[in-house]
Amino acid sequence: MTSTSTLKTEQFSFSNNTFYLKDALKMTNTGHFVKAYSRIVPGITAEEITIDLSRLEQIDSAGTTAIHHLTRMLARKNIHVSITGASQSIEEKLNLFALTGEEQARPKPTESWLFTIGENALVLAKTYIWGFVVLMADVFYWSFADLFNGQQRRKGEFVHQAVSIGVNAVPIVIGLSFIIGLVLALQSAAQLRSFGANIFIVDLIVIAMMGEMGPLITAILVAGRSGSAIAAEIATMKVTSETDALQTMGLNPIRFVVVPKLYGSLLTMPFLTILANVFGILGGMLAAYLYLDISPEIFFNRMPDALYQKDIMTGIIKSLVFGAIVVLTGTFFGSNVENGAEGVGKATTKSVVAAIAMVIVADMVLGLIFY
Amino acid sequence: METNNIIEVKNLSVAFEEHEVLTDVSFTVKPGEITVILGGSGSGKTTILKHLLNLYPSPNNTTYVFNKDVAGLSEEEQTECYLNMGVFYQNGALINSLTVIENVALPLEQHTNLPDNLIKEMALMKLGLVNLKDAAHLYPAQLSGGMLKRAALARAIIMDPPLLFCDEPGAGLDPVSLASLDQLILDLKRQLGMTIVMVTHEVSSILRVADKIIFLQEGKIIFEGPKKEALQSNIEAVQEFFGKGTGN
Repeated sequence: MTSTSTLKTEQFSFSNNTFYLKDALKMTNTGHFVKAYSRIVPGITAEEITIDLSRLEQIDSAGTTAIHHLTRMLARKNIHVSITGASQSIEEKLNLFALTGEEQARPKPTESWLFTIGENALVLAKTYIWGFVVLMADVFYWSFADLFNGQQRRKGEFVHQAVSIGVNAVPIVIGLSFIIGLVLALQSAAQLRSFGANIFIVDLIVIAMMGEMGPLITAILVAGRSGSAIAAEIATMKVTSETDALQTMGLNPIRFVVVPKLYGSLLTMPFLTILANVFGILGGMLAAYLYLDISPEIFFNRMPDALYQKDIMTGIIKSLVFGAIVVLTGTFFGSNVENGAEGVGKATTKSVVAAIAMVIVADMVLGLIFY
Repeated sequence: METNNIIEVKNLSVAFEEHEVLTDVSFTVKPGEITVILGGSGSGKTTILKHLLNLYPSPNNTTYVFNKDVAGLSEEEQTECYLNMGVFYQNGALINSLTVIENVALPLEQHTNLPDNLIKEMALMKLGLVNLKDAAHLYPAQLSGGMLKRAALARAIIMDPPLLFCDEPGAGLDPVSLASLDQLILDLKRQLGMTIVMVTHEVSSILRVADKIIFLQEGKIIFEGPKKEALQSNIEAVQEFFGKGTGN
């Protein structure tokens, strides 16, 4: 294509090294104009090009941007551009809607992958690990201090949190524990029957529920239910500067917001775990009765042989640790929220995932300690 | 009803439950005019704005924008109407998950067939108009209050709308930024013939930009007229507002 190539549409044409524009160049037709000149410009060999606006009556910011863009494209090819015939109003708009300064916004600096890995590791260690440790220390300190000085404690808040985290979770905990106990017994029944070891279903269910499944199911449910709520609440408070407001009113946000939640969680988690154990065992008992012909009476008589005080205590201790983990992770991710409303959603998701992962890791560590 | 007014409100009365927020409000806005709506807290300024934007349902035959009764608009007509309006919200109302430039470019991406590079360039140009080009790749949460406002203005004018609504545009801005914002608003009016409806309390800003003033008190319009008349008004509330605002 040479500089004498022509292109004609209704509102713009190119001939004799001149772009002619007429009527209107607005958002509705600028796209076509851009496509057209993008095809023509690479083939232009002339040293000077004119953009004739004498018949152009209307222009908007899309049109002016396109003309500036065309001018720059030509200038990059060392072609001199002159804009002629623009009315005063069009000239004013060309000046108003000019992209001044650098052509592009300042690009983000790009770093080497090694630098990025190192930087991320540092952020992980500093923000997540150290940050979590500091928060944990802060929360435990204020929880302990608050036991002896309840001046800043909101009346009824501890009860409210206990109801919210614990009591309201009772139906879901007992329902799911019952089903899991039932399924656990069902899955094991066929294997035990083939060895004639039907009665050991009692040992299996009791040990599994008391030592592992009860505390774990409860913790996972509470992490999903209350951990997410804690993260969302604290993240929203942070985004809307409520935590700053508390601080400037002389109230410690940890003490005011987090400590009642920790108390509520620590008080109710053992009870929830006990309920999960009881209903899980009842589910197992139902399966044993239906599929292994073990009556409830036999089941109950066998239970003391399988039940050790240590298992009960282990379950209770685990539930306390798990309860603290759920509150701490919710608080940690909630208070590290970034990017406004979107960040609240992310903080909530991260908090639930991290709480469940930490509960499982803690379960393993406690399992190693107690056995 | 075809008039040469861009906005016409006729006998609009609004009550929330028992509480009457607007009482028999009537006014017009002519093309190319900057109209400032003034009034104390709870006087009904935001309610009027929301009715003009059809965010609150208006009774039939009370609120006309672009000569159309907003109460009877179909979804398509409403969308078309919105495309001819820019709205500059007090708190910015930027989408937090998008960068500043993505926020500004969003209406162009959704409603035009312009190529991506031109959309980006237009968004940068509009950000340049509000002195925010260097913040193009930041997220709204990383901006200061004043920057948020400027980004919101860039988004409001990205489609070159003939009608611009500004809700407290100057609140939180320093005097220099406020003056340059006012200058930009005047440029938009003069060079694009934009009609602007502003809710603001900034007296310096009102004195610089307003053509017409509507003064609300307890849901009623107590003054409607040119800025010059407002400054000479005998109405106590109006006198008090401008007297205090100008330090007289």
